[in-house]
Amino acid sequence: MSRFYQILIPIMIAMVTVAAGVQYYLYQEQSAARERPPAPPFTLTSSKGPVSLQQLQGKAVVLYFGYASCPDICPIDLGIVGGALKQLNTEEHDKVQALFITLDPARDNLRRLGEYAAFFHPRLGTLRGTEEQIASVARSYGVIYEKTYTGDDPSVYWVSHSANFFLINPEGQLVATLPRETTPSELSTRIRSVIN
Amino acid sequence: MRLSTLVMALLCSFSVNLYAGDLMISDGWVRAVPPEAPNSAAYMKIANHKDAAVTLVAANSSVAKMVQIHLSKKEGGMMKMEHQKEGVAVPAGGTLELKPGSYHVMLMGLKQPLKEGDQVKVVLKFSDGSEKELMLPVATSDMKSGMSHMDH
Ligand SMILES: [Cu+2]
Repeated sequence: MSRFYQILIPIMIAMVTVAAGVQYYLYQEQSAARERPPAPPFTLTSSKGPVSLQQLQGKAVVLYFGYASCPDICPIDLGIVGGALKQLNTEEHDKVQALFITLDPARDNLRRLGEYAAFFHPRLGTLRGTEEQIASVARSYGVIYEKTYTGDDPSVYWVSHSANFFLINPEGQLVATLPRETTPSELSTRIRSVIN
Repeated sequence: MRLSTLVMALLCSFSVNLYAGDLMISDGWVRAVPPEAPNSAAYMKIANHKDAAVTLVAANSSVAKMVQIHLSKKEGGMMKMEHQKEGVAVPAGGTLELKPGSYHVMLMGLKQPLKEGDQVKVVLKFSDGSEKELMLPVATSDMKSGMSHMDH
C-alpha cells in the first residue's frame, strides 16, 4: 500500500466515525424532544376560579412555588420572574403565563397572594389549593418544603422550600427546571425559545 | 509644634469623627413589600475599623413586632432562613455585608406598610455595648449600588 493510502484511510475512517456520531447525537436530541414527558398535570384555584395546566396548553408556563410571608427568598426569585416578563413584548406576553403557587395556603388567601404577585409583575398569576392539593402538586414537581416554627406561637413560622423555576412549553412538556441563580435575561431567553 | 505633628493630629481627629465607635454602616435599605405582607428585611454593610472583631448581636425597629438577625441559605435542596442566635461577627478590619439571599435583619410582624420612599428606623446592637441608630430608605429592588447612607 502506498504511503498516500496509509494516511488517507485512517482519515476517512475518522471522518465517517465523526459523521455517524453527529447523526446519532442529532437523532437522540430529536427523540428526546419527542419523548419529553408531559409536565405533571394539576388543577388549582386562582382568583378567577379553577385553573388546570391543561387549559394553559398553547402558552408557555413558568411555575414558581413559594409563600407570601417570605421576606428574603421569594422576593428575589419573583423579582427574576418579573424581570423576565418585563423583557417580553405585548405579543409575547399573550403566549406566556407565569404562576406563583403558594406552599402556605393556611396563611395565603387569594387576595393576599394576588397583591403579593402584582408587586413583581401585573401579569404574574397566583394559585392556591388545599394543603393536600398543594402537597401533591409540589411532590409531582419534586418541590420539597417544610415549616420551621420560630417560637411557641403556631401561627409564626417560616417555610423552607426548594426554589426553582419550571418552564413548560406550549405543548405542555416540562422543558427546563432552572435554578434561582438564573438571571431575568436568561429566563426571558428560555421563554422566548419555546414560544417563537 | 512641627507641621507634620499638626497634620497627624488633624488627620486623627478627622478619622475619630468619621468612624465614631469604629463601626461604619453604609448602603442600608429596607425591602418595600406589598401592603399586607407581614415581613420585610433590612440590608447594609458594616465595616469594622477596630483591631478586634465585633459581633452584631441584635437589632430592633419600631416598624416590626420582632426583629432578628437571619441568614438565608441553601440546605437539603431547600432555601431556608436561620436565626443567628449568637449574632454575626464583623471581623477586625473587615466588613460584614447584609444582603438579599444572605445575612439580613429580619423585620417580623410589620406594624405598618413599607412603601418605597419611606424611612425606617433600625437600631443595631453590638457585642462591645455600642448601638447604632439608622434611618434606612425603603426601596423596591436590590439595585442599591449607587446609594450610600453613612451613619453619623
Ligand atoms: Cu429572614
